[in-house]
Amino acid sequence: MAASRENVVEVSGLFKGFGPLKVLNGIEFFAREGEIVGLLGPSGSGKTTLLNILVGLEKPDSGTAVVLGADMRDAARVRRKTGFVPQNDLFYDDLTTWENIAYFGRLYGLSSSQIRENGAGLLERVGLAEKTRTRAGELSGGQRKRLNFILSLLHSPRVLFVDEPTVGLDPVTRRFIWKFLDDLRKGGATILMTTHYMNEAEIVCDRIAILDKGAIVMFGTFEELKRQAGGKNLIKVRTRPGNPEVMRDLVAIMEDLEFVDAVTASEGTIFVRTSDVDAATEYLYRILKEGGEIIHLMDVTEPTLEDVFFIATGRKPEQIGDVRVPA
Amino acid sequence: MSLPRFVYVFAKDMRLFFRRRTSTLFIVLSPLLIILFLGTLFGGYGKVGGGLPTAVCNYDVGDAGNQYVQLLKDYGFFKITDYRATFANFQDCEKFAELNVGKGVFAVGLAYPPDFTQRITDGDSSTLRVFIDNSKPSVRELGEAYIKAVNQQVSTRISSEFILQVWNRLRESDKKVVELQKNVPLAISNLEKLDTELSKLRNEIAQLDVSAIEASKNQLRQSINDLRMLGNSASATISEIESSLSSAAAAVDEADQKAQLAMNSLNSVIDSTRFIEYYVCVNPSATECQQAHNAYSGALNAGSQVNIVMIKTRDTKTALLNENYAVSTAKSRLSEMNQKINEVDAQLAVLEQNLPRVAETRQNALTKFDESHGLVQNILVQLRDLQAYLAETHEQIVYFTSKDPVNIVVPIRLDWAYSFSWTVYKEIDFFIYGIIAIILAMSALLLPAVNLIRERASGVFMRNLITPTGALSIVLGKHLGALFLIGIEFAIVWLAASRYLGVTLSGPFEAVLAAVLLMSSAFVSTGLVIASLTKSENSAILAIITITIPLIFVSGVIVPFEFMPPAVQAATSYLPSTLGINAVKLISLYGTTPSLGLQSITKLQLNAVDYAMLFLAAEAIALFALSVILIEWKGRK
Repeated sequence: MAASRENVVEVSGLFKGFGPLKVLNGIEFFAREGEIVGLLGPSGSGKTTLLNILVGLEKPDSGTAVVLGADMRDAARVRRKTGFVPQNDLFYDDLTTWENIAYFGRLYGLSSSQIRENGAGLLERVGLAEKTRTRAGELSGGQRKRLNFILSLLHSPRVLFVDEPTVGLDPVTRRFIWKFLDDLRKGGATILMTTHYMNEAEIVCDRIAILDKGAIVMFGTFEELKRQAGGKNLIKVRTRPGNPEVMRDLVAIMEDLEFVDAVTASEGTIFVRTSDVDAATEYLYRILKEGGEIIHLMDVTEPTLEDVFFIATGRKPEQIGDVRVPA
Repeated sequence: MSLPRFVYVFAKDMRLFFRRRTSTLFIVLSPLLIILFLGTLFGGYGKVGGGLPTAVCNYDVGDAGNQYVQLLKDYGFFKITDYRATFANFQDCEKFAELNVGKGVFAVGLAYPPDFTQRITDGDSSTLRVFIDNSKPSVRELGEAYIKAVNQQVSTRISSEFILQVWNRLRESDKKVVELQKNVPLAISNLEKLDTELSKLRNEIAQLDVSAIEASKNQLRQSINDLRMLGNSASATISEIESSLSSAAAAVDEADQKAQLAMNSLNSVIDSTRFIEYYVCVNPSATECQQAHNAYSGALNAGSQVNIVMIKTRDTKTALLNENYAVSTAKSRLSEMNQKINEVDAQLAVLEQNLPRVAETRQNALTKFDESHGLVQNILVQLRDLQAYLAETHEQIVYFTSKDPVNIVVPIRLDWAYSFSWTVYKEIDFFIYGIIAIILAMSALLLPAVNLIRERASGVFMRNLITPTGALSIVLGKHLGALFLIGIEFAIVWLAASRYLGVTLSGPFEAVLAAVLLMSSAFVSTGLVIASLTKSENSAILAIITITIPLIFVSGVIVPFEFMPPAVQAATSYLPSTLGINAVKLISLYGTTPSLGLQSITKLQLNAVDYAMLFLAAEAIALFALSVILIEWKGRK
């Protein structure tokens, strides 16, 4: 991976394990200034561990993670320029909104005037200006999430790490958060965001890195990912549920066909990447007609991010506990 | 102006703590309830009990015993009963005191023998028997402390007086010695000079013999007369010689004249003969020449003879002149001699005049010698006096210095006898420090530990760690917050103990507070270390209890420290709880109160306090550093 002056985050050959368990296996990616990079992966794929390394809470076993030119083994050098929005709402419930802002502002080394200016501005932006004297424990879920954001943005970081920003939020709040992230990006911030929501990654992120079992299996813009998955040469096939043996036989047959480049299948869904779409569709259509309802559905379209995820990891999002939220 | 970041961490923790009403209530109520409950249960002497029951057997016939007892009474710590009037003799009273201390009727017994003062006055040490009930360590500690203080005070007074007496005597002696020192060398020097002069004079006197001088003078007179006679005789002789010489000189002159005439004639002859010879010897071989030559030669010979005569005549004349000169010289010398004889004669006349005075002078010299001799004798007497005085002074110094200095500095020795009565006394003075230590130790361990674990469990601690503020500021803020709360607890506890339980503070409160805060700081850091190593609140609390209870036991709170096996004492002497409790106990019990005369003990104990507090400070710093390192490491693994 070539270094670039535009890159504010560069991760190379990153390994991390906890005892015998290997969590990160040679992670490599980068994030440019002013873009949002999504780290998409199921639970246990290593997203949080990767994020913890990038904010300096953990140290990798090997490899490098460089943020704004500083190796994150010595994260103290860049903490003033980076921010972290944790998945959970981490602040003091018994302090008021403003007391939390003032406290963490001080920990970031801000002066009283800076805290007043930045805090008031952020509260206004997220719609919490009226809640300064409210105890943080008394805020609603959405309000807590916004406060969570504010506390990470008080010091105007250049790079923001966000962990699952919209988990458990209502659709309105989710959209608000997306727009907020987009506004931050337009303001020049670089955002690295973990998520297991496909649509969120698709809507918010400029580029996406798909993690699976501690490794990035695909990285790039959505268009690039689609191309990597097969693009227009991808056929999606659904088999009748409850026939795993039939699907396995079909997969075996398809893999032997010369015009088939790759087959990915799981739980009744098969993706066929082919060099000859016509031949493949004709073959599958024959099976559809003659196979006794083996094939339930067949579709030749550009893959969605879910499809890409499935192709990359071999598992459907539902299988790993994701909740699909309509856009 | 921005404050250091740990201040904001401290402020946040305090705000959170006091915002929870139950926490605020318990921080006040908990120590109050504990101290009131345990304090009431144990009670104790303190100042409430009226003093330590003390039996005194003061049979001293002198004043030192009374002084001693009076000082003990003045402290107000001892409730003294003197049994002198009850028992006929000292031994019975002493036995009575010892027995009843052993039974627990008295806590302390003191026995002053009849020769207590006398022995001190004589420069020997006196022994005071002290009976102590050892079953109550605080009684022993306090009783010993006070008795030692009084002992030191009385001993210092006695030894100071003695030393002052010696000092004054030595100063007086020294003054005299200085005076004598000035005089003695001068006396010695004068004496030596005198001795030398006397010796010289003595020699002179010895050499002076007047009769011999008289004899010499007479002889000299005779000699002078003889010399005059000789001189006259010589003068006559010289005159005769002078006359002869004149005659001889005249004859010589005549001879010389004649010789001159003869010479003149001869010269003419010589000239003639020579002329003849010249003319005759034209022919040298001629006989006439020869004859002329012979004539000439003969004339020459005659001439030379006459010349010789003339020379001899003139020589004779010269000799006569010289003789004349010599005679003149002799005459002159004779004249001088006569002159000298006259001078000697004159001097002899003077000598004859002075000779009587020489005898007189000799006599005077002898008299002076006698006087000087008397003076020397006086000086010798003075020197002997000085010698005697110095000998006397030496005896006195030997007398004083022959005494053992230990007996002078510590004229009163304490003979301690310990017993064990097993009676139950209320021991608030003993337990109060342990109660305080328990309360503060538990709070110091639990408060910051639970706070940290909760913050870590909720995740908010992580948000603290990802800021540029380092673990040091965060931990310091929490540390100070915990100490602040401990300080509040301590103030409440101390207020309750002093107001309700009658516990008094002998030393400065600031010193007690410093010891408490240092001890608490060590415990706070220990709590933070435990919190950083444990994962849950439950395991942290269990770990803290596991540590605290043995810690309190081995610190001497429940069981006196001195009663523990030596190995345990050695192992636990440097625990923060042991050091802290000892420091607080020493400051509170002994303190610094000059009016009570406790300076020497205070100084000793404060040194022990300083020692304890230095170790506490070192441990607190080390544990704090460990807590920072662990929190940093565990927070960012």
